[in-house]
Amino acid sequence: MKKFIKRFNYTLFDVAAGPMLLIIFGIPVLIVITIIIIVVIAVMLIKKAVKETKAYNKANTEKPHDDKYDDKQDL
Amino acid sequence: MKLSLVTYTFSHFCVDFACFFMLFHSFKPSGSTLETVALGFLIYNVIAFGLQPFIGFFCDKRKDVPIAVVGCGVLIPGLILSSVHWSSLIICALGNACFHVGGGIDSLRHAKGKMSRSGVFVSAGALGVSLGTLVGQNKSIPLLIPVLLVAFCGILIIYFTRSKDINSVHIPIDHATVHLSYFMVLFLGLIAVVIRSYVGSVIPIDWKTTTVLMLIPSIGACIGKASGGYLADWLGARTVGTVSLLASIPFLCFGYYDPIYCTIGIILFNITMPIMLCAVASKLPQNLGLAFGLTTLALLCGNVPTFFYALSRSVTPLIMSVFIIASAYCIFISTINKKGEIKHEEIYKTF
Repeated sequence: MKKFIKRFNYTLFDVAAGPMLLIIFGIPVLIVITIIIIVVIAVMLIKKAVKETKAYNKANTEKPHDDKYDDKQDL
Repeated sequence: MKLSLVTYTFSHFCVDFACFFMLFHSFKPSGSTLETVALGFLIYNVIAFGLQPFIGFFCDKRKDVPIAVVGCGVLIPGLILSSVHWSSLIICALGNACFHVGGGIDSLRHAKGKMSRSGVFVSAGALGVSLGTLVGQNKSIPLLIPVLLVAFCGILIIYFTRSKDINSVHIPIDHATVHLSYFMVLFLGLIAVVIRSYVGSVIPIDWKTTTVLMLIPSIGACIGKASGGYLADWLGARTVGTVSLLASIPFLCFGYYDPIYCTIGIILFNITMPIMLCAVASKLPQNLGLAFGLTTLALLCGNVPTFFYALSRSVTPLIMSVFIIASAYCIFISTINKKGEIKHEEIYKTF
């Protein structure tokens, strides 16, 4: 482990300005990514809801099977 | 039914008042920099608007959950914890989201195929936001007032919205065109909402210099939203939506510097709000909570760019007019006029 760490130039990890940059750019980017994820999940919910609505409409518009009518037709 | 509309409309005013009271009374003064405050407001919007589709979808599956009361219940500890600024902000935003979904579902479910009810319900929010902003800046007013208001609203909702309403029959009406697919109508409807949200956020209102003038735009938005539903029921969704948007262009784009012209523009511009909500809901009649939530998510999507990028004053009128025309076109092709074609009252009696 020590050997592995020694290979790195420690000055690269001198990130005093890092957190500030993270606050200025990182959080807004994170928020935008969050909103994109929310929109994607919402689209998936829309697909599910549309499927449900179509199934509901289909079930309500289909005529119920009438045995009497069928018997008469056969005669 | 009318009593529940009054209850929810009053509660909508109180909930938005309480949330913005907290934001300006406790959160804003705590922010070390303007960026932190803006970030807080953005996170509040993301939670309050962005979570509504999911809460709505959950409520569509579990119709027995009194989500508006839950919203009030969540809001109270959020307000009490206002000294813990970020936690308070997140809890209040959650409570706000829950309440809005509950009120939105109620306004759509009991609308009897009309748009006026949802317009009236949503209209009160604009007033609550601006009054909460104004009153919240006054340090002498105690936080106990919004806490008591929200608690009172929770009790009102429990008392005046009966449990049997949960199973009442929703009568959908197709405000949306049948010639386009479900997804196309939803896409166009939500794009119109995104544009309305963005344009509403970038209108340059420099004349808001006094307390009274600060209230005028929100009063205009309130009048527009409330009257939009009634006008659309009377004259047809497509006619009212398209004409009002096109009529708002000269007032908003060329008269924004004048309080009277700008307010007329804001009224005309907000008329479309209940129309688009009902158009989206009419395509998702089994998922009214999701439909309401999708419109708030669209509001968020339109609002977010204004946090990151400010338009230059010289191009704002041009961009506004182009966007409003695009929005009017979306409404024109995605909605229909259906005044007097279905006698909703008669249908309702048969259930």
